Amino acid sequence: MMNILDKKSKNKTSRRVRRKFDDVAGLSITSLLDVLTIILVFLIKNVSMEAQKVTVPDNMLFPTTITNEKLIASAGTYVVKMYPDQIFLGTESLPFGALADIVTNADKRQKVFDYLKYEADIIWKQDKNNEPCLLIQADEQIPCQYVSEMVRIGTNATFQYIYFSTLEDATWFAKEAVAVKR
Amino acid sequence: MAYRPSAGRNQKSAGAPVAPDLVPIMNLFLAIVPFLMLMLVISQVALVALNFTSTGGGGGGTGDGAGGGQDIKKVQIIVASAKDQGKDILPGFEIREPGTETVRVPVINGAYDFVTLDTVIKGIKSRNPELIDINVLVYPQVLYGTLIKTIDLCKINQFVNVHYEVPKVEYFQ
Repeated sequence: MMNILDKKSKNKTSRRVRRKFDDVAGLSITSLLDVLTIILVFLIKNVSMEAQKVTVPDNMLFPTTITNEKLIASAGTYVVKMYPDQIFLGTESLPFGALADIVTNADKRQKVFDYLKYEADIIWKQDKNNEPCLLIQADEQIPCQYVSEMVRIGTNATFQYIYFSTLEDATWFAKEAVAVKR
Repeated sequence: MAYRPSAGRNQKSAGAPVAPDLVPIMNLFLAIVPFLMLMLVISQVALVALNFTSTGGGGGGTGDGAGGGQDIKKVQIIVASAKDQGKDILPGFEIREPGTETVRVPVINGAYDFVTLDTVIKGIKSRNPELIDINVLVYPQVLYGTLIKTIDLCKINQFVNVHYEVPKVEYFQ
């Protein structure tokens, strides 16, 4: 009897438990996280307020051009958005008023001049080599008199460079040629 | 086997490090990335730079001497609209080059003839290969899109300095 018990206990200690499956190695998501972090930073940079200067504002139709010029490196840029019905100043889109006010309302014209002068002075003070640059984003359907007036106010407010925002389209002239032939 | 409290703590800290749970962070990223990609506007935005006449100060003045007082041949493209009222204003383009006859490019069925304008500009460039300055005088009722296309055509034809002019400034108070 004792022998049997001894044998059983011996068997118990020597019994080896084997798992049915080996342990699956944990999936390393570190590289995936790295990639996602980089994409996230890139996208946040694009959506930032600074990017608003070069993106197309909502509900605005830019004219198309073949040429594309670069902003000068030392420019501190200030944006003016001109819609067919209203004008917004800066990337913060401060409402100025109706488009016609810039021509018909001397008080408002003076106010927009004062504000642009204030912004230009800030850019001048930021860096000795910094030159204020006015970026006009206007809808293609607005008459030029309003754009001309904004250019005049901008140059009087000591903006050194004036740029117009457009959409690059290498085919607009070819389309015009086709339209004229018809 | 029972350990002393201090030994027990040591044993716990010596255990295998626990991997941080990254699932919530992954969820957050996966939610933010498509949202940001939706906000991304994919369009090629371009810029057109302006030059000013020495007398203009931006939009002002028609100026009779272009580009810093140097003796530069002044070629002028006048853009007018049918809505612009005045004597001798014809809707379309009028190209004035010293020493040659004024060329008029009228609108065709209400549309500006950019193809003929391009031909005229190319002719000016072939006669004056060293000339890089050109003046664009735009009447008030001309649409901004037309102005930009005119400036674009000048720049395509190697007129790097496009000077912007307006006939006069009018205020309505």
